[in-house]
Order: sequence, then structure tokens, then C-alpha cells
Amino acid sequence: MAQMKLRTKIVSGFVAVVALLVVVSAVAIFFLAEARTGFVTYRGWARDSNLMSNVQGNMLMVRMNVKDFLIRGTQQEVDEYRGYYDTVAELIETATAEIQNPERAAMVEEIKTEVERYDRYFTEVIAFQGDRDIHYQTLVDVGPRIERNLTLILTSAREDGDMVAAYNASLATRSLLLARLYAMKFLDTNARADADRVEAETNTMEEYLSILDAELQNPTRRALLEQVRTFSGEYFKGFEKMVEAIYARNGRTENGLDKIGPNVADLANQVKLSVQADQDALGPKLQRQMYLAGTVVVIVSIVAIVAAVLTALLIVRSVMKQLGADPAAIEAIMKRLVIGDTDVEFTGTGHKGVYRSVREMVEAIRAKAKSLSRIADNDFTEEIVPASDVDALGIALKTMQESVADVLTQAIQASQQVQAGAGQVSQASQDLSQGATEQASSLEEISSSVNEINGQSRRNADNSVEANNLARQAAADAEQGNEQMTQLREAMTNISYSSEEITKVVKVIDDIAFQINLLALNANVEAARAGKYGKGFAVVADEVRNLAVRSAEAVKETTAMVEESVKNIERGNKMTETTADKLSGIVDGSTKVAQFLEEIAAASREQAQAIDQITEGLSQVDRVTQSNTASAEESASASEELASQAQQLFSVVAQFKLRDTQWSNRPNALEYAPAEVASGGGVGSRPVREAVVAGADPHEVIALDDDDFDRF
Amino acid sequence: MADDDDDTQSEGTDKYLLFCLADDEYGVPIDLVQSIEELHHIVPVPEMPPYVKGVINLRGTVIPTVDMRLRFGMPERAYDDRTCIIIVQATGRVVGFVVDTVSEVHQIPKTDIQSAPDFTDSSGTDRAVGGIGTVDGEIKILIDMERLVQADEIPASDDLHE
Repeated sequence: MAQMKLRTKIVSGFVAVVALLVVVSAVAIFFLAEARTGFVTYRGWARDSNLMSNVQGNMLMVRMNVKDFLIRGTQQEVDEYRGYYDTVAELIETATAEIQNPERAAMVEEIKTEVERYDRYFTEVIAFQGDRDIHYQTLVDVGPRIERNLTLILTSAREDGDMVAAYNASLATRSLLLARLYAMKFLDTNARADADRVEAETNTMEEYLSILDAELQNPTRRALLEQVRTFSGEYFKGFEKMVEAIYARNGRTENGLDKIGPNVADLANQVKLSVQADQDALGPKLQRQMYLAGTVVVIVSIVAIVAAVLTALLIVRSVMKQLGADPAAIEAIMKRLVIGDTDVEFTGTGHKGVYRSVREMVEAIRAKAKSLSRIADNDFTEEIVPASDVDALGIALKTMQESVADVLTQAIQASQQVQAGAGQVSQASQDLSQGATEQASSLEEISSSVNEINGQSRRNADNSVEANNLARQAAADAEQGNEQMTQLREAMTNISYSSEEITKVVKVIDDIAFQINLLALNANVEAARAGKYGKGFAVVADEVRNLAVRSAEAVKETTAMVEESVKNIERGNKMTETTADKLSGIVDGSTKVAQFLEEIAAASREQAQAIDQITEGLSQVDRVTQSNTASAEESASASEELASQAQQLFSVVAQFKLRDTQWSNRPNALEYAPAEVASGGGVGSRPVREAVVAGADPHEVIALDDDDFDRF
Repeated sequence: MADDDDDTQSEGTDKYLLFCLADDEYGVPIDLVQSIEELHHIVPVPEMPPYVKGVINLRGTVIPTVDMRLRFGMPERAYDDRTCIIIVQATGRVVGFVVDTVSEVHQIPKTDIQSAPDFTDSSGTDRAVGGIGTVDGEIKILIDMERLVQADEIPASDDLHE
């Protein structure tokens, strides 16, 4: 850990924290996924339960419609029953598809079978109810007829005075009415006793009818009685069949419908209960899972936070170990160093890392500062030892000390050489003075020659300007001639155009002449056809023709003349062009001559100016020569002054304390050898001329300096 | 003068219409000439000899037209504003002849006319030459139009109408 880089430490710390975050997230996501699965299952079951409730509700409506039908027996109830039954069937289909639990699926299957059975029974009940209605109608039709016939028998028997018949007829009527009354009662109660009573009353009525059959003699009444007996048979048979239908219907209702209905409701309820039981098991389980998830997430989060804090502490500790002190303290020290303050105090002991390095650096800087301050006191005797091979500052300091010492040594030598040189300069100055005087006389001669040249140049320039003007005039004249030529050409072009027009007109005249000729010939033909009567006409026609021929000839002549003039114009055009070309040539030539002359004039002027400058330069040279003479005298006196200054410099330089090793190489400034200077190892040492050695012949020195003197 | 009149009356006029083909002049008896026309638009008619250029519509009359140069086997020449059509009526047919140009009507007495040289050439071109006339020393070839019109396979204008 301690060996790792700062960046690696910080990055690995963050990676650890992110890893913990990922663990917490993973745990949370895992528990959320579990909970989601549970809730999806729970919702599916709730849907199943709702489905079953719908089945129960719709089944109830089915049964209510069945009851209504049994009471009222109209088609409306059957239609409503069909609607609700279809809804139930659809709901059961959905339930079969959705409910997967095998136990509940079996129950749904059973519900489906039961409901279908219920439907079959109800279909049968509808059929029986139809039978009952038919037979009931018979009773309603036949009953009143029997009664009417019996009443007719009664009234007619009474009128005839057949009291036996009337009596029996009335008794039969009474039995009939009782039978009908109980038949109606039976319709309401469906009780067996009422049916038996109807049978008994019918039998009683039959007995009275048998008596009537024996008694009645009147044929009308016998016929009525026969009808009554037939109707009576029909009535009783109809009633029996109606009873049968009602009992069959009731049997289906009681044994089938009334049992299946509750059974279906019960089965649906069982399914709901089964679902509810599962839900009751799953609900608490989910709740426990959520609670567990919460707890686990909290624990994992706490562990992650603790781990993150520990990691942070570890990283901080490791970093501080590397730095040794807070970066702010190090920065304060560095800032003081920047402004040159090396009096820094280091608190505490056992410094580590960067802080220790800073302390070592400050100590090294202090040592260097001390060495520098000694050099500042003119003391070059200390031997400076660099801290290492790469101690640039130490090496530079050492080099600087040595170089400065070397420079001082050389300064001593130089001051001695300057003394010697000053004498030579004095001699050279005297020679220079003499040369300058000779120069001055030569300059005067040059000056007079230049003035003469100047006058000639100016005259040249004036003549050139005059010639230039003449050339320009010639060019302008030629230009004017050229313009007139152009106008001439235009005029000739116009003539040429007019000639073409004339040619066209002449062609028209020629055409007309041809036409007249044609007409004349045709007239001649006509005249010939007219025989002798046309003779005079023929003469006229000939005359006309002659005129036409003459016109044609005149036209031909005109055409020839016009062509001739066109040719002449073309010839003139060519000549004009040649002349114009020539004139253009003259214009060009004149312009060029003018340009050349102008250039000559300009060149002459420039020459005059240049000569003026030469004159000016010569007078400057003259002045310089005079000042040179004065300067040479001055330098002679200055060189003497220089020699005394060199002596003074030597005495100043000698104040510096130099190490023996530096000084011992040249113990006496006046006796040193040039070879030793070269071997002194000083930076920037300059080769010294052998001739400067004290005691050399001054003439030789001057001879060697001739090259330099040329520069004057 | 009266004799002359009688002569012309009895033997037909001896005036000829002179026309040009290339550099030479030819003559046609003027009494056969119906009129001289400027160049009309010639409508080509298929399946005709090459010298029959087609027909023209002359004031409502359709007239077959022959190029005289082609008819005489001379090289063809582009028509210009001097080109004329001579309408000839001979042997009951009316035919137009395209000539380079017409020049004049001139009288050529019989005494100045020689009969055509007796070419035995059977190519048929000599059949049209009626005689050689001389006017002021120049030779004019006189065309026998009746023979020319009869010999040629020129459709009658009536045929064309049909």
C-alpha cells in the first residue's frame, strides 16, 4: 500500500466504494424482482376470484329468469335467460383458459358440465310448459261449450216439462262447474288432491250424463247430449295430459334446475375460497419477504458505509505518510523560498517523505548562499565542492568562482599590455597626420574636374528636352493623319454600300425589262394568232419589245459601271489601309523616339544630381581629412593618458584575494609567458600577440597593423 | 402587202418564236405557241420519262410539262428567274416546254430555211428537227413541234384530268 502511487490509491478507494454500491444495488434489485413475481401471482388470483363472482352473479340472473318464466311463461324471459346464459358460458370459457391450478381447473370443468346440464333441463321445461299451455287452451275452449249445451238441454227440458232431464242436466252442470273450478285450483297449487277431485267430479258428471242418455227422448236434446259427451271426453283427456305436463315440468324444475343452480353457486364459491386460501398464504409470505429485503438492504448499506469510511481513512493515512506533513505547510515553506528567505524553521523530529526532502533542499540552498556571500566579499579562496555530478547549481557556482578569478588574472595581464600598446599608438598617429595632408591636396584637383563634368551634363539634359518636344509633335501629326484615314475609309465603305444598293435597284429594273419582253412576246403570239387583224398589234408589240431590250442593255451598262466603281473603291480601301499602317508605324516610331529622348534627359538630370553628390562627398572627404589630422594628434596624447590609466587598473585588480593555485601560475605580471595564459584553463581566454611582449620594436608593430589602417 | 397577207393566210405565218438552250437559239412556229409563261411550280408526276418534269396549273388548266434540255439529251441546268415555259398547242394537245429563256419573235422566210440534214440516226432526236433557219448569218434550229409532241410519251392533259 505504501509503495503505490497517489493516483492509484485514490482510484482504488473509489473503486472499492463503487463496488459496495453495486452490491447494495444488486441486493435491492434481487428482492424487488422477488416481490414483483409475488405480486403478479397475487393479481392473477384476484382476477380468478372476480371471474368466479361474475359467474355466480350471472348464474343468479339465469335462475331468476327461469323463475320468472315459470310464473309468467312468456318469450321475453326465455330471451333474457339466453343472454345471461351466454354470459355465464363466456365467463366459464375465460376461467378455463386463465385458471391453471389443477384443483380449481377441475372445479371449473365441473361448473361447466353442470351449467350445460342446467341448460338442457331448462330446454325440456320450456317444451313441457308449451304442452301445458296447449292443453290449458283445450280446457278453456271445451269447458264453456259443455256448459252451454247442458244449459240448452236444461232450458229446453224445462220448457217441455221433462223435469227428470232438467234435474239431471242441472246436476251435470254443477259437477262440470266443480270440475272446472278444481282444474283452475290445480293450475295454481299443482296439488294431486285437486287433480283427483277434478277426476271425481268428471266421473259424477258422466253418471248424470248416462242417466240423461237413458231418459232423453227429444232428438234435439239427444243431439246436444251427444256433443256434451264428446266434449266431456275431450275435456278430461286434455286435463289429464295437462297434469302430466305440469308434473313433468315440476319434476325437471325441482330435481334438476333447483339442485344444479345452488350446486353451481357452491362450486364457484369453492373456487373463490380456494383462491382466497392461496392468497391468504401468499400475502403474509410477500410481506415477510419485503420486510426481510428491507432489513438486508439496510444491513448491507451500513456495512458498505463502514467499509467506505475505513477505506478513506486508510488512503488519507497512506498519503500523509508519503507527504510527511500537510501540503499547506510545505507550500508555505516553498513560498518563502521563492522570495529568497532561507531562514525556515522545521518543527518536530523524525521527518518523513516530502517534508524531509524539503528540509534537505533548504539546507543545501543555505550552503550555496554562504559560498556566494564569500565571493561577494572579494574572497575567491574557498574551494567549492558540488553535492553530486548533477548538482548544476554547485557546478555553476564553482565554474563562476573559477571564471571570475581567471578574468581578474587576465585583467592584470591586460592592463600591462595596454601600457605597452599605448606607445605604439602614439607613433602611428603621427604617420597618419602626414598622410591626411597629402590627401587634402589631391581632393582639390578632383573637385575642379567634377564641376566641369556637371556643366556638360546639364546642357545635355536641356537639348534632350527640346528634341523630345519635336518628336512628340511629329507623333501627334501622324496620329491626326491616321484619324483622317479612318474617316476616309468609312466614307469609302459608305460608297461601297450605296453601290450595292444601286446594283439591287438595277436588278429590279432588269427584271421589269424581262417581264415587259415576255409580255411583248406574248402579245406577238396573240397577234400571230389573230392573223392579219393582229398585224398592227404585232408592230406595237415589237416596239414595246425593242424598248424592253434597250432598257435591259442600259441596265447591263449601268451594272458594269457600278461594278467598276466597286472595284475602284476596293482598290482605294487597300491603299488607305496601307497608308494607315504606315502612319501608325510613324506614330509608334515617334513615340519611341520621344520616350528615348525623355529617358536621355532624365539620365542627364540624374547624372548632374549624382555629380552634385560627388562634389558634396568630396567636400565631406576634405573635412574628414582635416579632422583626421587633428584626431591623429589627439590620439597621440590620448595614448599617453591610456598608459597611466592601465597602471591604475592594475593596482585596483590586485586587491582581489585569489587562491595560491590560481595566482602561483603567474607570480609576476611583468614576466608572464603567453603560453602560460593559454594553459590557465580560464573561460574566454584571449590569445595575446607575441608582439605585445614588453620591449618589442615599435616599428615592427606598426608594420603589422597596416591592414587595420586601411580602414581609415 | 396584200400578197403577203394572202400568203400568211394560206400557208400560215413564217414567224418563229426564238428561244435559248445553252448557247444556241431554236425556233418554234408562232402559230403553234399558245403563250409564254414564267416558271410555274411544277408538280411531279410519277412513272413518267425523266424529261417530263410534271404538270403545271395554268389558270385552271392542267398542262404536262417537258424539260427541253432533257428532251434533247442536254445536261440539266438549275431553273432561274429567266427560265420560261412555252405553252404549245399541236395535234390537239397542249404541252409546256421549259427553256432557258425566250429571246424574240422573228420572221424567217422559207427561202432562208433548209431542210433538216438527213441523219440516218434512229435514236429519234432528229425527228423533232423541222429545218435549219438562218437569221443574220446565225443558224436557228427550227423544231417540228407536231412531230415532237406526237412522238413523245406525253400524257394528254385530258388524260390527266381523268
